[in-house]
Amino acid sequence: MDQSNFISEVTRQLAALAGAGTLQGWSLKATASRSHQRLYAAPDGASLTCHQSRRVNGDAYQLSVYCPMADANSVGTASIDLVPFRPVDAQLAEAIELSRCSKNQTWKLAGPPATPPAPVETCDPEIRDNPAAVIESIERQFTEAFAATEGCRLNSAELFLNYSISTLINSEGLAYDVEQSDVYLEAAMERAGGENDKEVHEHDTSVSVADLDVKGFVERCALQVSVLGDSEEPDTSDAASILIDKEALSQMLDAVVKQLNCMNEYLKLPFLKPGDAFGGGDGDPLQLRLDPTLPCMALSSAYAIDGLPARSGALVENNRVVDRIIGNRFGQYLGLEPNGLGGNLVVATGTLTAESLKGSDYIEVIKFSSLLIDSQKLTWSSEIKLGRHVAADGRVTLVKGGVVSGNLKENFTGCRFSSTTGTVSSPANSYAAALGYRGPDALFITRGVSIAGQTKGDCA
Amino acid sequence: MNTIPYPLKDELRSFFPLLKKLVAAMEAGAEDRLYAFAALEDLDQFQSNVSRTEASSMTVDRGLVLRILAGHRNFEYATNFFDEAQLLNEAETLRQEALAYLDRHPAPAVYTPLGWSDEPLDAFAEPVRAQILAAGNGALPTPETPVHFGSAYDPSLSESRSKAETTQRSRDLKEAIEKAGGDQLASAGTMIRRKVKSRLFVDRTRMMSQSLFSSLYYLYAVTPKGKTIRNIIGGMAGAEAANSIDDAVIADLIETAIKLENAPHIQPGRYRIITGPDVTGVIAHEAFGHTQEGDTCRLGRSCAPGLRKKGTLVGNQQATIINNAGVFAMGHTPWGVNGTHFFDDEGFIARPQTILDQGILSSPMNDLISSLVGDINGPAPRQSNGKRESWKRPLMPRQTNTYFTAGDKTLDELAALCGNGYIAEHAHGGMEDPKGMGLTAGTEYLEEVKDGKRTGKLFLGPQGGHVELSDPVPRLLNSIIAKSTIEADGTPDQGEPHNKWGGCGKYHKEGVEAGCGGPWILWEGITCG
Repeated sequence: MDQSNFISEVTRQLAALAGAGTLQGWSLKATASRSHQRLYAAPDGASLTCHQSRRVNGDAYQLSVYCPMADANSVGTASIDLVPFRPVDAQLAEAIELSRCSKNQTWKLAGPPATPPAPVETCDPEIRDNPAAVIESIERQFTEAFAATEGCRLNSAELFLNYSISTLINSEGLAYDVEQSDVYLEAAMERAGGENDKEVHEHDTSVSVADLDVKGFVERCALQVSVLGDSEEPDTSDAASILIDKEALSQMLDAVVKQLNCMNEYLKLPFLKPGDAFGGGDGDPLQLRLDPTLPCMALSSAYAIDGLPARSGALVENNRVVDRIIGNRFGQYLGLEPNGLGGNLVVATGTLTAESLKGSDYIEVIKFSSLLIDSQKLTWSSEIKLGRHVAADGRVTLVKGGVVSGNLKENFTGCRFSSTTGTVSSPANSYAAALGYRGPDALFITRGVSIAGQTKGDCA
Repeated sequence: MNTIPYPLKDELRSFFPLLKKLVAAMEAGAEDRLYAFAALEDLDQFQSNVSRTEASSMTVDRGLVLRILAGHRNFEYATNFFDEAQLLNEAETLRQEALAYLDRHPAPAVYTPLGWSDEPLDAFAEPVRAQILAAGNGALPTPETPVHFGSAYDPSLSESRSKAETTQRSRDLKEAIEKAGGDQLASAGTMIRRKVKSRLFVDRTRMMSQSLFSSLYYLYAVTPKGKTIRNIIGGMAGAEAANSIDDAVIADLIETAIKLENAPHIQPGRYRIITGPDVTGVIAHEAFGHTQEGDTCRLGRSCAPGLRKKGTLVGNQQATIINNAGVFAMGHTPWGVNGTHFFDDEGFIARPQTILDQGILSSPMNDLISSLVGDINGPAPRQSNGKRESWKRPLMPRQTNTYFTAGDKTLDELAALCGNGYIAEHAHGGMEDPKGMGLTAGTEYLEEVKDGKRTGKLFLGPQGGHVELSDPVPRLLNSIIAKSTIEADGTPDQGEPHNKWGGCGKYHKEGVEAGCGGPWILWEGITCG
């Protein structure tokens, strides 16, 4: 059975079940996806040599059902994956039986909006229509860019092109399609010649091919390679200053945004509400908004995750919470008007420049080993994979190892955002949710950071 | 407890003829140039989450991978469309691609797969060996004999099969945590996941299948200040995996939550540390786990081949690490963990490999292509480490269960040897830099050891978060003072050391299941921050 026939059959049976009162509601997401995947070695240290090439085609169907319960204020809920190779009626019966196991406070699903939201660009037609040509073009650009580098040895690379089209339908009559694409490019390189104990391993992602700056990516990797050399562990300090990049900054703010979702209040998890202060002090103020309408970013979408038209808006102005994400379900639970806020994080730039850092003693973290951020405690910690210690007199030492940890509420107090901007657009994978960010490409933190590294003397 | 191997569903068994046809189509007339296999993956998972909301979900996924190895390149097509004509077309397309590649590139000798008679049966764990022989009625199977491996479970426990019972258990546990915690908790929750992951594998020498049945119980409590305390209990078993969850487990969760709510912070620095099996395992996984993965080695991204070539010692005599997919019993626990399998995603049977032997590195953990290509030390034996996140993702050499070998001390003896320091018991992630030999392993908190005794006093990281333990790998592996026995209580060792339920994202993607563990280990000093 092809996808459209399968969807028709499923929705026909769901409508009948709803008509009979067996179901209170349902929502269905049907996705067709394609992926082209290439893994490369570089036996000569310079050329991409593919050692694994894959083509992937698949469909997926995710159904949520809501069943009436004896108590009118409660609803039974279940989510199941439907498969075309089993009878639809048996799968729906199983979903209904399962829904009786989970009892929740009832809520009303989003219906079709009075005015459909304006379309948002979420897909690159080139990735959809000409993946082979796109792969060839990226390989060529990469090869040319790498040939122009000096002193670099290429170890490996990966390239993934993904495309999907999803249809979302629910029992309230909401129906829309979402087309998505993304590119993932990764490279590992090191200094040419001799034995190395340091490697530069970076990746870049984008929704469109045009936004994947292959040459710039290779040049950034090569620049990192050029600074590799002897390193030492950072000194232990309970009050360190650090400079972080847009990747780390976007992940930290993403953790803060989790507390700006009213779902946390309902679930009795730590949350921030309008009027609360976050950070502050005498640094640059935090101005944070969400924007789902930016074209071709990881969290661009015409609709919010719960089917409401997606809306942009400010969450934090001058370190004061001015609004929060009120989704359809948890908004109803809390008696708050759902607002459809969502999308990419957009942060205002600040006053930090290279010139303004002169005279400061700090560590620039070029790469965290594994930045783990606790979105409830708003704390974080990681080993430094590669960094630079810049002394007040301007001397620079490469650092590696040691553990740096921080507390976000302190970190955003007296901090300085860069005056230059950058973009992060990471599609969801099995390891992390999607993250879209546009804002300062660096943050200078002077409070709430500890470093465990070189310790004078024996164990404490 | 009476257990039986988890059976293969008839519906899945019926795929064998199609898979054989596809292999034949991929290799047709080119068996001397190509090696092909077909693998079907099937996931049937139920999960119940209960907190202030409740969610029951079923994840059902089935996908097919067609693979041709041509020279030193893998060609794959993966799909969840099972139309035979369409699949045969794709098999032919893949064959043409592979042959065209071979026409353009000089090819090394074709890989010849092992037959059953080539397998070292006596080196396999008993559940593996027994099920091979059972399939052949006591003799070796032929290429036409379907061989099924099923992980053991106790069929008498109805909770293993009943979604309603599982959900009720989830709800009961959550309510028990809330009741015991009272006002001292902001919230509590549970998650129970029951999963059957089956795989069929067919190449020209064999037809195999495996069904791995696992259960995971995740309990957590959240304090008013947002401190989350969790207990993760799971194994390759049915509901019996939760036998150890009782009132004492819940009381311990609450007591820890209360202690952590206002726990002091450690000063960043270097401390004498005892790691529990959970954190020990993360160190094993990170220390010379990733560094010994075959692709990392052959791509020039690991320091291990160079150190091995020079014969460099990277740890002391206590530093012995095993990677073993065939963990079917751990100490007194009669089941394995989620990194366990009977054969990997390329059809290679599980067997233990000592990846670090008293500080001496072995050859890498290889998938098929890594074993053929080799690293600077040349080709090396294939291992059961070819794994992928799912049929949708590429295959790479990945760890299965990675653990330190046991020692001879009890936990009390380790505490006495420690003197003043901390215990790191509950893991919180980890990461390794295979080229630079950096390592970091997180722990939720530290427990104080003073004058050779555990004080029960808990400490958070310098900024109130979790604690990262980090050191260059050789420094760390040379700092092992002593290791405990498997149970750490003086009882004789049996089975493999305890491995904890875990997962691994290679360089933050490609998530696979990976157990890790070992004994309690006393380390001379580790940087903590």
